[in-house]
Amino acid sequence: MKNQISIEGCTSLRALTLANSSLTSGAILDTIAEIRSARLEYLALWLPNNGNRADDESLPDLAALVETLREVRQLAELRFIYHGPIPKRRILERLQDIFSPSVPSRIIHVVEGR
Amino acid sequence: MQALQSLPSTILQTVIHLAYDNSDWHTLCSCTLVSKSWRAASRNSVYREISIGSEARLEEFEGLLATDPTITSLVHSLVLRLPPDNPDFTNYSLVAKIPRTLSTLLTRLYTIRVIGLRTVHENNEPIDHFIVALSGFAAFATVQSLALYNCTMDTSLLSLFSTSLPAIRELSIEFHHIPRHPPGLIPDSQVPSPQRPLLKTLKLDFGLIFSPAAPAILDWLISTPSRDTLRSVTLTVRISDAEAVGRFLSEVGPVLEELELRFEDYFGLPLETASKPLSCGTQLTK
Repeated sequence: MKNQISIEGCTSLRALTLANSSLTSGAILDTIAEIRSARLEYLALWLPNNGNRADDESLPDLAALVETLREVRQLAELRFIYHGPIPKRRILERLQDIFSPSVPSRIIHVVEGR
Repeated sequence: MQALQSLPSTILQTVIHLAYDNSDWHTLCSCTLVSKSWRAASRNSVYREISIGSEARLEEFEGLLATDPTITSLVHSLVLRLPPDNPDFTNYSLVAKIPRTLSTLLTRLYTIRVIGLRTVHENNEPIDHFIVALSGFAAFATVQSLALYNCTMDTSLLSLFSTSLPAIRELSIEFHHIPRHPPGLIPDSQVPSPQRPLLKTLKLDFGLIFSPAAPAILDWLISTPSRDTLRSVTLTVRISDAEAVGRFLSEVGPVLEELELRFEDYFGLPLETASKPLSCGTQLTK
């Protein structure tokens, strides 16, 4: 089935934010996988709130995103927004592990949302 | 304290504006009472945004501008806050007076924010008055940004309002409602220019309450030249608006440089975002 909201045609994007309070992570990743912009410099995503867990199972399957961003060479900031009691540093370290070496650790940021 | 007094006025203005942070009136009022130099440095923040909610307040402000004409160049933002308990048909009088009174005085006005404007009435006569009143905003030649919050206005009036502002580049609409007006509301003499608006920035947020406003406004924007000029879009997407948002992005997507999608749903139920088509015929996922 075809997405009714598609960003596939947004080929000039330099900044993309997907703020999502309750959709499944799969929906986000399906959308992210459509990124074809050669100019994307800023990407901000909201992590789903999976309670207190800070292990791999608390994060969505980010393999598709890692694969997509491998090609986005000019990405200058990859920001994850999350809401939950897990220490920010712990989430940041897990994300840096997941994205290494496709995305430089220095451009990955974690900020707390609402 | 003496060191603070010797600060250049521009730095003092910046410090005071940061302390005010667009909302902390208590701090700003305190700053104006420190000394003459602090009071002078506070003026930019005090008069940056003016809020008017009644004709009496408008007259009061007009009197202030007559007393001290230097204030006219300090006002960058005008907020028209219409009282919710006013009968609808009395609002147009204030709306009509705003451009007549202020357009020639506020020479550095960049933003107009309208809160609570309702153009609903069973009798069409007040609507006709609104058409004239909103057309009058064409006199605000410097205004680049229009923000509507909790307004009730159909797309033909919205189109008239936004295209009336000759320099408009930003449009923000939050919690908008669409009334039911008969077609052909706008007389031919008042039909907005097809060359406008030329928006660069768009922000739409209709909240969680169902309203046909999102599809109506998105479809209207696609029909305007803004389809080619938009560069930055922020949309709060409800499941009921998915089809209209998809249609909108397929049209303007290639020219966009910044996109923010905020997904919302009514109840947070998996059914609302499931892969299978919903009864309303919309879906967000594959």
